[in-house]
Amino acid sequence: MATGSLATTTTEKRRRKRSSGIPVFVPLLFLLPAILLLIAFRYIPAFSAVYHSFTDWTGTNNAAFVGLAQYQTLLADPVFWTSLRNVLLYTFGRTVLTTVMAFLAAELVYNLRNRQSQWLWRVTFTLPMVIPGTVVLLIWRQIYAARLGLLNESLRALGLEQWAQPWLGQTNTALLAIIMIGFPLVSGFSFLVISSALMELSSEINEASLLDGCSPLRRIFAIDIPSIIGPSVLVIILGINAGLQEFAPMLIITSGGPANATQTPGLYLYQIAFTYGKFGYATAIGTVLMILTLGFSYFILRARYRGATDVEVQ
Amino acid sequence: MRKRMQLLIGTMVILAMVLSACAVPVAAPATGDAAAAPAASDAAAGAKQTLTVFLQCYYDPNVEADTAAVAEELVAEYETLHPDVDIQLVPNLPAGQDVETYLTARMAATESPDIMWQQFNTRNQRGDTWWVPLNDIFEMPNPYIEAGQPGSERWADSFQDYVLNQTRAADSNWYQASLDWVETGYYYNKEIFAAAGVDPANWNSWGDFVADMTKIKETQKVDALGAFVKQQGWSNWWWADDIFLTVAWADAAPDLYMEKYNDSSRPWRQMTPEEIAKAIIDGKLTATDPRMDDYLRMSKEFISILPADYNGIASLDDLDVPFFSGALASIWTGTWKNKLYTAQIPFDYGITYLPPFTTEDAAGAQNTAYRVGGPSSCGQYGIAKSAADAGKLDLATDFLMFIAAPQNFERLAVSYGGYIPMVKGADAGEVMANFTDISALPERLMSDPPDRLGPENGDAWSQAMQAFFLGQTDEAQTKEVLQKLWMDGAMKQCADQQYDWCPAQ
Repeated sequence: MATGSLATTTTEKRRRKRSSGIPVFVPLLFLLPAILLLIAFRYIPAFSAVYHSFTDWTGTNNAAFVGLAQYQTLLADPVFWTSLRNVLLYTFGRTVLTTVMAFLAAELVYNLRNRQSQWLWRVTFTLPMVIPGTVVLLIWRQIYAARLGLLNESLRALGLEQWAQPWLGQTNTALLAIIMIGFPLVSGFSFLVISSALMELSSEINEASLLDGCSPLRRIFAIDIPSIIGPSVLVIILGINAGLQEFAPMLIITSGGPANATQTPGLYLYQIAFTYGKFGYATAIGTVLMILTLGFSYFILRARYRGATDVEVQ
Repeated sequence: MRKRMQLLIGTMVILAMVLSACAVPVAAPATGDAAAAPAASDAAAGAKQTLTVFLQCYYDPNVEADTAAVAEELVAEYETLHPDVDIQLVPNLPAGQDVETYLTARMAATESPDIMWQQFNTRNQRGDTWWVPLNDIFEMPNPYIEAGQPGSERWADSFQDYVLNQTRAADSNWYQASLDWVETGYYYNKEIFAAAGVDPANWNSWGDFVADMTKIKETQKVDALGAFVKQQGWSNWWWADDIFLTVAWADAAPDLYMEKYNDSSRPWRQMTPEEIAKAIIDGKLTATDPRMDDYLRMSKEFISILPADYNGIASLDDLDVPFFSGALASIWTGTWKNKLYTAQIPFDYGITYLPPFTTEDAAGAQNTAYRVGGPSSCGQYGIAKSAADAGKLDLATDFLMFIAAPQNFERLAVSYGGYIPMVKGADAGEVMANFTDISALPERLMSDPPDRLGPENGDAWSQAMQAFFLGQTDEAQTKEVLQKLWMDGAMKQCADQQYDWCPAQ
């Protein structure tokens, strides 16, 4: 199989060279600037971070090698473990909710018969993508305010005064409040990916299922979901990657509080580096975070391709 | 062959572009004696010597255009006096951009503005790794101050003693000239207070204050006082924390001071970081002391009159809307809000302050309140070490002295109207009018949490107190946690500063 592929590839290269007259490596030259930038701004910082996690770097000093000392500190740091627990809860909750809600929204749009209505709802769900994330967070900060906040004032107006809470001021509600930012949680990107995947489904299969008496709900579970596992996994992996590294909502809304209830490794890393000047320790946190993200992505991808029938596995 | 040549040339062009993009610009040769004779040295070099200056809110063209224009006028006047100097003002960062991140990146690349603003506590933590110690420079005459006036022979004389005291780093150095000051007070809604039958003039003790604020909260169905607690970084609860610690330990203050910092003309003053560390290690300042019971009780009483989400409020600015709309009866804020409040508060308001603390409030109290004035303002300027390394120390010193001269700094401060000039001889303008009584109070014995034993220790203190407020720890547990924080912080300070009195580690 491998030899066959190689032979095919070589033949293909020769064919392309003959047909266009351009050596196959010329396009690579056009990729060169992008690759250089990728190396300069992604790979070198990543490797540099791993290296600096074994030093006592303060951001400006001549860093001295300290072996595994930063990792030992990390293991004994209760704030780090609290932040890890928080980010796992946040990532799980957020990924499940955003994926499910994006899927529901995409299904609703997919099942609309009127093309114009489909277009209108697609625009409605994706338009919020143009609003800067920081603005969204600042708006939600006001929504959650105990006094004059939209949420509590709405509850009071509905006669549900007893449900009004200092949402961000209690350890038992603060993380939940952060997870629910952006309610109804239809992420424009996830919606677009899943919606596009649904649109790609063959209309013949749908028609056949209808002729066979398949209800729309049955069709969703028997046809739609199995057919869009690939794009859904992409959405989930990106969601997990983003979730594990999340720090902007916590930074802007709660600073990780109260009493570390919304602290995350990403925010903790940022505070350790830029407030306390302990870059060596911060890079150790970053390295652990990177390993976690890679690990999660690997296991999800493995699970996705195990026994998969919708992709050609070579 | 031809194609290979084309490919080779193409590759070389791309590589040349990449290399030129990555190349470090060659720095202009720096001169050494800029202040003494910048014109002569630069004339010889044939180029103007450039100084970059970050004046924070005093140069924010997008937000405070009038004050920025004043800063530009000052620069023009300086450049007229020194034709071979080019002063480049760096605009203030947009709201929301973290100055520490900005500065850390530039310091790492030795690209910091030569004269730079930074909060004094963070600056003191960075110390001489980032900044030039100004001790010797403070001893020099300021040529821009009129002869015979304070500072004309010794620059330090132009600053108030308490300003110098509060801005001194743990290593005893000064890394910044603090040209202005923030004073704080309680802006209150007179209509709400009157409706509740409360008159601040009748407050004779902390107990009276708490009782009246509770009455306002219960009878008017509003939040009584705008303050909040944050687990990381600044919140105005810090001011309350300073005062409660000060009140609890006021009677022991003389025993906590170190002889070397004593000044017979100022028997009461704020403790320096070194004094705090020594008092902790000597066992004179302990969180397990009964005085801390008063501290914890007053802290809880304070929390009881705050908005319900005091633990979740991100910024003092977030309290403006409830205050302006009458959902909040009063707010503890600083002079920097003076201009905004004067223009926008839609009701009759007054400015008041905490009443005296009596021995009924706390055993150590001295029948007084304490002002929460401090140097956390716009006029905190230090000289970057990178500027000295580039040979610009004399020029930076000269320009800093020029800006710090009373006739010059007064123009910036009065135009901005949010801070009180701390340069002797400079007029405070209208901002001071409502704060005269408050500024006459004694200063705090204890500084803000991060100024005591460093920012990390200060944030840990905030988190321990948040846990106490939320009921996660009781009084005994909290005292234990606070004691550990104090001792760890003091020992770390000893390790960092190597004071001669430190115990062997």
